[in-house]
Formats: sequence, structure tokens, C-alpha cells
Amino acid sequence: MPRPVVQSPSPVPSFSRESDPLAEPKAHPGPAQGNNQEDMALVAAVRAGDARAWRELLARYQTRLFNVCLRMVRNRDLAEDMTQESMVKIIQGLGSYDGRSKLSTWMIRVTMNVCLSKLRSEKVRRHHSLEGLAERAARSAGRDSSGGIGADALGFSQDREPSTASRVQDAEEQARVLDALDLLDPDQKAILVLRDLRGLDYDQIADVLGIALGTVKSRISRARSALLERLEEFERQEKQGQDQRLGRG
Amino acid sequence: MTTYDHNSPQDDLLLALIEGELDAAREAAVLATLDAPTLARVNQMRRHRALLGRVCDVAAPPQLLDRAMAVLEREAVLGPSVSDDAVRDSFQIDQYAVPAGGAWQRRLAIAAGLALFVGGIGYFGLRLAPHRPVIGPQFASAPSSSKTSGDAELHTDPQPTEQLAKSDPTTTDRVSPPSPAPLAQEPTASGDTRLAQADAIDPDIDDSLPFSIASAVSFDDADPIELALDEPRTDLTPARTWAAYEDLTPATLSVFNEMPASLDLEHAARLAADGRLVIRVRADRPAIAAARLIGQADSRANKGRIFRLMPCPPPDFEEAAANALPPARTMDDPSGLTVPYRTPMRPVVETVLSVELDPSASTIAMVQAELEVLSEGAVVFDMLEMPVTMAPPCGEDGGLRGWNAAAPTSVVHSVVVPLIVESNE
Repeated sequence: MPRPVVQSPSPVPSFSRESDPLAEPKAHPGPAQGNNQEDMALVAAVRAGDARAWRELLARYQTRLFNVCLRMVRNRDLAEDMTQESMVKIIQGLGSYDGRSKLSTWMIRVTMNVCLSKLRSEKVRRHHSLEGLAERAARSAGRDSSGGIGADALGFSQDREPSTASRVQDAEEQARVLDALDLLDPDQKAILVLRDLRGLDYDQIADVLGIALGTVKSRISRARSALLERLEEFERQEKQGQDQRLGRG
Repeated sequence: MTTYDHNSPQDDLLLALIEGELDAAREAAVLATLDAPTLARVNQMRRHRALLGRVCDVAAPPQLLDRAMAVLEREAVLGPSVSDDAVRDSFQIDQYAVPAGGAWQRRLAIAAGLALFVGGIGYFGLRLAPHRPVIGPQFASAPSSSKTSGDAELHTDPQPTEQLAKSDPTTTDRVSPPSPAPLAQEPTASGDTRLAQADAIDPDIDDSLPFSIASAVSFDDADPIELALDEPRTDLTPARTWAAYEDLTPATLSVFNEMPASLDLEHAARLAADGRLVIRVRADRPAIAAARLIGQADSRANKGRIFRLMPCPPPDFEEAAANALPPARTMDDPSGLTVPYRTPMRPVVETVLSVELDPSASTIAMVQAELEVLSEGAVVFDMLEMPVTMAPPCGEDGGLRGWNAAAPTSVVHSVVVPLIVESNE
């Protein structure tokens, strides 16, 4: 007997998280969910030269770090490379970790610095702009051209069983928001990734990005505005495309 | 309005509203004050935030951690490496910043490049030119009688031998017959004594030998194996050394030596570290012993051991393994030489395997004990005349694998030692 679909009272229907069983629970817990005492014990072991502690420490955070990179560059291969580079820098830089911030925050800071330095290089930026355009064009044509990395692989919470049209619509809208996010300036993208996708609070974001609390808020405001403008731009382009098709027809 | 670094109080309030940080009453109050366009923007931004917050996490690729660990361990061993990006960036040249020089500048640059190219070719050509060893007898006869080769001319002392002899008061009344060594060691006019010595050693080296043998024979003067293990096999007659059989490697021939008394463990460990140890298992039922050992050369059986038994022989022993069976007991060698491995006295080689082990006496003792149990035979440690080419360890399926296939932490200092299973007849 089919189970009745219960609509969420929220304006945004709930998306399925079960498509990725390995995904960490993300009720916006931020990076502080790790046990800090265990972290510090591992840090001490790493500093003492215990190579096995490297693996354990990195294994605890690899998914989180990988997802930060994946959201920043939106390309699985690049994200893997950046995560690997971040891991190396984390272990090599543990000597400079002074314990003032949580280890998880410090690790995300290292990772975000790696991502930002990559994104600021002209080559990567151009590559992804083009890729994003191609992806959007393909999606509007009803197919996925992300080089074999489908929406699910990138973590889009699309329902495998689109029980209602609204869910499909929401999934499409989510993908469009991610497209728009991808076109933002790296700093704006970073702050929205940290805030909305990773769920860090303002203090943690300030710590990760090395900026003042007030600057965090103003940057979030500007990033939201920029995201909205990108989405409005998408809508205008889509409308123009539809008008042109109708005109030809 | 929004300043560059800080929001206005109104913007902060809107941000708190978008991010759901206001309580219900405050939220309702703020919403009531907003005009329609602002309200629409706020709702859109709230929706975007909600949509982004529902993006699932993706599991990290399983190989990611291993890759990072490999890089970390490599850098821990070799020191931090310069990343590709850093190298690329350091060589980036702004093509628009190159000053537009005149034609003479380009010609000068081309000429300088050509000069460097020609100089480089000349330098490396001289250094890498094949150096033919000067044979001793030519040396000896060169000063007094004939100058038969260009090499002899190059290394010949312009001073006649008689003059040299006269210069030494102890030898003024007699002239020594020409011999390679003394003459080669005498200083030449150019003072190049070392070159003459180097050219004069080992006159019996045959250039036609395979490279592996030739390289094994012609070690550098400072080769540690030569210095540390100058241990000739006194129990071997010259006719049974490798030099008599140019078509066989010394490793292959060593298989067919008589079974000697086993070396002590410390000695065996030292030989293993230098690639000169061979483990010989002599069993009454060699076929059964070989089958048992091959059956134990798999990953499951190797898990509980501190050494690794592998089903493939080291490269130098491949020929011995290939010729192991069936035995040929007739002397039908067309060259007329006595071929030990075809004499009826030769031991019947059943198979050749490899053992990867830590070259220590304790490990070798454990290897000996376990092999004796497995083969039900005698395990003897023998010394090879020449170091074998160190074999890359092969997998349990018999295929070769690289030394550094595993992460550096799991690499132990190990060597591969040939293991020969022979008949006890």
C-alpha cells in the first residue's frame, strides 16, 4: 500500500537526504560537531610523530573538507585534488595551530584558503564559468552534461521518486541556485558556502575567513543580493530564449 | 544604506530576518514594516537559504585519504616538494613584457644558443663516448716495440722503457720483461696513472657477456659489495665458474654447484643484504616439497609470516627455473665444454621461488625453520659468486609489482632471495 506523501508545512518542501547514506547529519551543526578532546589528543599524537594519527585525524574530517571543496569548485576531480592538498597542508601546518579556535574551524580555514587561491587563478575561474554555462544550457535542454557527474553525484537533493510536481520544481530551483552560486565572486561564494551550506555561525566564519564580525554580516548581505541578481539574470535570459523560440515558431 | 564593511542597522535587521534569527513576534513586527518589493526580496532570499541548506553532503572518495597519506609520507621522507603550480607560476613569462629587440639582438641570441648547443654536444659527446678498455698486453709491449692501437698511443709514456729503468738505480743492470701491471702503474708523462690502472684491471672481462653480468663484474672501485664481501669461493674449481660458460649467468650456474655446508645465520644475513644469498632446499621428494612451497606462496599464507614466499624466481634465476625440469643427463653440448648442469652428477632442480625477507639473522633463522617444516628437507644457505639482480617482488599471482606500490609506511627494508628446491639424490 503506497505511503501517503506528507507535505511539509515549510514553504520549502523537505528534500530527501537518504540518497547519500554516508552524508553527515547536517542540521547546521557547523564544524564544531567533532569531539574537541579527541581532536586535541590526535593533534598531540601527530605532533609527537605518530603517523597513524594522521590518518585518523584526516579520516574524521575528510567528508567535511571534501564537501567544502566540492561546493567551492563544483567539480569532483578538482575538489579531490584540493581536498588532498588541504589535508597535506593541515598535517604539515598542525605545528602552527594554536588551539584558540576549534580544530575543525581551523581545518576549514586551511581548506577554504586552498579553494580561494585556486579559484582566484584565472584559469580555474574561466574553466568553471564555461562549464557552468554548458551545464545550464544542457539542463535547460533536458539533459545533464556535467561530464558524467550527475546531480546526485554533486549532492543535489533531487528526489529519485518525484512524487509531486512541486518537488521536481524545487529540485530544479535548487540546482539553479547552485548555478548562480557558482558564478559569484569567490569571496561571496565562500561566505555563502560557509553560512548556508556548511552552517557555520558568524564567529566561525569570521575565524575561517580572517575578517571581522561586522564584515561577515555585510558580506553575507551583499552575497545574498548578488545571488538574487544572478538568478534574476537567469530568469531574464530564459524568458528571452522562450520569446525567441516563440517568435521563430 | 549598506556601507562597504559594515551593514546599517536596517540591513542587519533584514539579515537576521532572512536567516531566521528573530523570534516570532519580532519577525512579524519587522515584516509588517516592509514594503512589497523588499518583502519579496526577503522571501526569495529566505528560500534560497533554505534550498542551499538542504543540499546533501557527498561522501569523500575512498581513495582520497590514501592519496593524501601517500603525499604526506613521501614529503616526510623526501622533504616538501614544490607543487606543480608553484613551478608553473615561477616560469610564467608575460609575453607582452618581452622587449621588442632589434634583429641583431635576435641573431646574437641565436648565436649564443647555437654556441651553447654545440658546446654541450661536444662536452657530453666526450663524456659519453664509449671507452674501450685497454688490454694489458698491448700496454706492455707498446713502449718497447709496436704501437698497434690508438689507445696504446694515448697511454704510452713518451719516455722509453730503458730510460725509465735507468732512472731507477736498483734496476739499472737489468731490464724487466714487459708485463701489464707494473707498466700500467708507472706514471705517464701526463701523470694519468689512475686511468691506466683502471684500464688495465680485469683483462679477462669479455665484452660479449650480457649486460647484467658485465655490470656485475665491472663494479666501480668504491663498490661496497666488492669491498665488504671479497669472499671468493675456494671450493669451486675454475672449470665450474661462470666465466667458462658464457651463455649462462653466474646465478644459473650457481644452482648447479654441489650442495655446500650451510653458512651461519649472521653470514647469511650479510650476504642477503648484498644480494649474494641463495636458499637451497634439498628434499627427498622434491616434487612434493616444491608443490607445498608453491602452495604456500599466496597472500593468505604469507599473512602470518615475517617473510614472504613468492612463486616467481628472481630474474637471474629465470633460466634455471625454466630448465629445471625435465632433467637432461647426457653430455651433448656442441661446444665440447663440460657442462655441469647436464652431467649426471648435477642436482635435479625442481623449481626456483623467491623469498622476500628482512636481511637479519633472526628472520633468516625463522625462514629456515619454516622451510624445513614445509619441505621436509634440508635448508642450506649458500653464497652466490656474484650478486643477483635484485628482483622486484612479484605478487602472489606471479605478476611483478613495483617496490613502492604500497604506502611508504608499509615498506620495510627487505630483499629478495632465490629459493631453489632440489632433489636429494
